[in-house]
Amino acid sequence: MKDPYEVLGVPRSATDDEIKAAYRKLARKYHPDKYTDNPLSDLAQEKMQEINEAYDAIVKERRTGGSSSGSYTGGQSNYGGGSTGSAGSSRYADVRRLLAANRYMDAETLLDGVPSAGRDAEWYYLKGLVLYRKGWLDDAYNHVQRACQMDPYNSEYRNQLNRMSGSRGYTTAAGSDNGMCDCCCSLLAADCLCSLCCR
Amino acid sequence: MFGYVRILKEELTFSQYEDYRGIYCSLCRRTGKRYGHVARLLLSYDMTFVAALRLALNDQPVVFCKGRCPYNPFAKRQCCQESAVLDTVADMSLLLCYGQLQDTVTDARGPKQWGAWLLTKWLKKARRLAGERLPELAATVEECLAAQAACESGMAVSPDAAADATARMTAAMMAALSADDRERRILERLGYCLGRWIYFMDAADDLEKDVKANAFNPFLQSEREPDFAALRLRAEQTLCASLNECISAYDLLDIRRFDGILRNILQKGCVAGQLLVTHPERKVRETNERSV
Repeated sequence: MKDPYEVLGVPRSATDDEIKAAYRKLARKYHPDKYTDNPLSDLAQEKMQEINEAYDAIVKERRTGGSSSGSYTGGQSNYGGGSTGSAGSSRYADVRRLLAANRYMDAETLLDGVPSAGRDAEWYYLKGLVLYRKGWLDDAYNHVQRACQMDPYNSEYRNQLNRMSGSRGYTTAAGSDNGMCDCCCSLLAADCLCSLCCR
Repeated sequence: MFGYVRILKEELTFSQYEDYRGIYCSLCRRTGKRYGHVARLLLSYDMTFVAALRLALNDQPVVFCKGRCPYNPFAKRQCCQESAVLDTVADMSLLLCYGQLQDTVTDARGPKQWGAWLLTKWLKKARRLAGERLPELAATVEECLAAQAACESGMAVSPDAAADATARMTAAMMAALSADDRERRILERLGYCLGRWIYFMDAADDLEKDVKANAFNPFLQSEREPDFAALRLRAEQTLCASLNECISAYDLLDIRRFDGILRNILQKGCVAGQLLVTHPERKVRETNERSV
């Protein structure tokens, strides 16, 4: 296993606060929300896990024997299954499975096989996801928008549209150190602090 | 390439700027060594970004030494010592820029066309050599340029489809920077979105010119009297989306050095260029106001 200090990019002499800050910064960088439906989301999850483990290891080491874990554990459970969540009831269960396995070209072939008369909101949504993974960001946005128009009360489509419209402007959190939303920030901070005081 | 992927000088530290110039000089030197002095003319800021990225992913440390530039012998410049790692980037640069030149020969008119034609003739041998060194990329570039030409002469397509060829070409080039599978995946995504961004920047920049010349432009779709403000707004959204994707991909890379420079380029330099192109009425670069 890699040296946890190296993973967080801090020297061994760093104070607890510095480590916390470094961890928080990285957690923001690799946050699963940033990579929802991204073809690289698995890599982001790996990174998240790596820094979680490193942070846990350091906290544990510094407490000498303390076992509670303080890291942010949103990764796998909350986000990984997102795209397969409603697969059971879906007409397009196979397409969703292919998307979850990152085989978006196969998913596109399946979707394109649906005659244009039978294309419903979900079809447009999934096609939008395929296009997004291909990097056709404009068409992806238009397709998801269409899905939202056809089924305005579907929160899955709506959330995706919100994410996409967010990245079409200058004020997104992507990569910048200061642009992140305050809500997430304070939650993360609270989470980290919690772990340090209540054993 | 087009030179849109550049630094925002005001926001770099002195040492970062020196490093950046050093990378530029190294790439220029290698290009000269491999393909002769004329090939140096093809060097662009876009390829300097690629070179910086290549060095940033290098496992061995990068050492700079002082050297003199034959074109500017009074200024001592930094140059990276084992610049042989940049050989591949020099090959890539030549392949892509030559493709671009061919494009200019068919599209442009007047002195620009003659200049490009002369350069293509002059660099024919260099192009063949680069093709032998990177046969896969050479094949991809040729295929993409053909696809591009077909797309631009055919019926109207969506901007995404129009940008696909350039984006795939850039993706193939970026992926060739690393041998590691994980890095290749990230670089491919980064390259695809950056290629798109460059293509759309060029398209947005040429909007008015293309309307006058009745030439192909991905943002112009059969309007009689185009509304430039609306078209630019649309271009801006696509540009932002592409750049944000680039940065998300970049965040996943294990960058060993030059992170400040590379982030300056992606988050500041590109954004400044983008604002300039999508809001031509402003004419001034606004730097601190917005960042991606």
